[in-house]
Amino acid sequence: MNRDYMEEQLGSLPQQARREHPDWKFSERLRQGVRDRLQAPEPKPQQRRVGWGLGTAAAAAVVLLALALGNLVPSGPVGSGGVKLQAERQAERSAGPQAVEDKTDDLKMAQAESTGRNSIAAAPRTLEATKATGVFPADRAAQASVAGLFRVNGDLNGGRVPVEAVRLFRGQLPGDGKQAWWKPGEGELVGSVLEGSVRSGDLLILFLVPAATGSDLRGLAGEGGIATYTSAEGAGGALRVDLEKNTATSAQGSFDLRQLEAALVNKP
Amino acid sequence: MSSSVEPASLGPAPADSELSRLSRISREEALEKLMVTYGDRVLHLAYFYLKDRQLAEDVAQEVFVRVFRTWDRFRGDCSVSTWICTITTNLCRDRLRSPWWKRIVLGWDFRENCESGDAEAEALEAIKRQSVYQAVLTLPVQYREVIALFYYQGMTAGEIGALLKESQGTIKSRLHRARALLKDRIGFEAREEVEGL
Repeated sequence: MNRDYMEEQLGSLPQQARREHPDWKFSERLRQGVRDRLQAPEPKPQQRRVGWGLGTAAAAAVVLLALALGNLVPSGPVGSGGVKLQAERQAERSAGPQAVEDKTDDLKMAQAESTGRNSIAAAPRTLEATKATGVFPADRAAQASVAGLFRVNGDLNGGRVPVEAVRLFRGQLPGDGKQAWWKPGEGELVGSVLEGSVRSGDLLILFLVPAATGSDLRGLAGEGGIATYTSAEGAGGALRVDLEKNTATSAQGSFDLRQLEAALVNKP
Repeated sequence: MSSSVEPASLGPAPADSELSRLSRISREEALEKLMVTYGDRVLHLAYFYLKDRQLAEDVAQEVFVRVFRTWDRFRGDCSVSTWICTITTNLCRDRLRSPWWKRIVLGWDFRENCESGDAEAEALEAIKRQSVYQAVLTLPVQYREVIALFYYQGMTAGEIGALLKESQGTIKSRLHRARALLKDRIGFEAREEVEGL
């Protein structure tokens, strides 16, 4: 009897599923997502091996924030800048606190000159106006977590931003290139992800936002859906970057910006 | 992605008139028909594995991408339905095995669980909602999987075994264990007493 009752209940699992989620359909939006994915080239096998991990589709969306961290790290190719920074930091440590402060100012100025962005030197200590593809709901954005660091290797050009991984903090990156989001193996971020504010040498922090689909991102980004993250509680309070404390904090935890230096020096 | 999307050997396929119908139209048209016919089912099956709607949607999309790209390789060894189910299962299992899932998604899952209480609380919630469906979702994945394939997808233990590359006995054992867990979690006996069953 007992078992019969359970069997009866389990036997109606399809009906229960439909009853629990009556609106869950493989809708035209999802079908269009399939068509869109089919338009994108398949990742090459070699690219899969190198660990970019982009074969996993973007169940979690990737948010890329271009942080004007020139005052923390120098511009230039990945690696060389980091080494330079480390050497300078060592010199600073040996010269004492005042020298550190002076040197930091020098670095700021050098960065501003090298990038032509005089605003960097005058940037507030707490960053604002960082941009991301904020096309997911605010509650999703609030779950953002830091995934990795990237260095821009060229100016924004036609919506494609050449980048190089500096350090991945969290496993594989979502996105598979099939969604015109991230082009694996070519070192490019594709799509209308970043707007205008990215220059060579900028450091990018990659955020993961759970459960925003690539098709959502693409569609909304195509409509110009760009969210601005502020230092306080912008876009669902997804991110707070505080250069005083050297932290970038999302609802899922805090990220120490001082790791930037180590990441740059110890580039994988 | 390292998924193996080749259909499992499920024995002789039934006369699949669907396949013959689909083979007469273009691959694009076939895809559209398959998405309409199987889309909802794939979505729900993926949800049994992943327990997240957006992740399930993403995998469901990926399933049909695979269907399209491997259509020419599908030899009709099994029904179209079984083939699509196999791809769905493989992709979901790949996703569950991926480091990304383990580090990112499970982290969130864990936090969600922390917020909503422990398994006991989940079971109580399931009782409250009188939904076996909800209770199934609280099972460990190896049991959730066989329940979904057996009861939701309507596959036999043998077919599930072939799909999962396990013996039929193993699948039956898992089904038995899954039912026992459900019984514990939902408290059928208690409910039966109350309801006078």
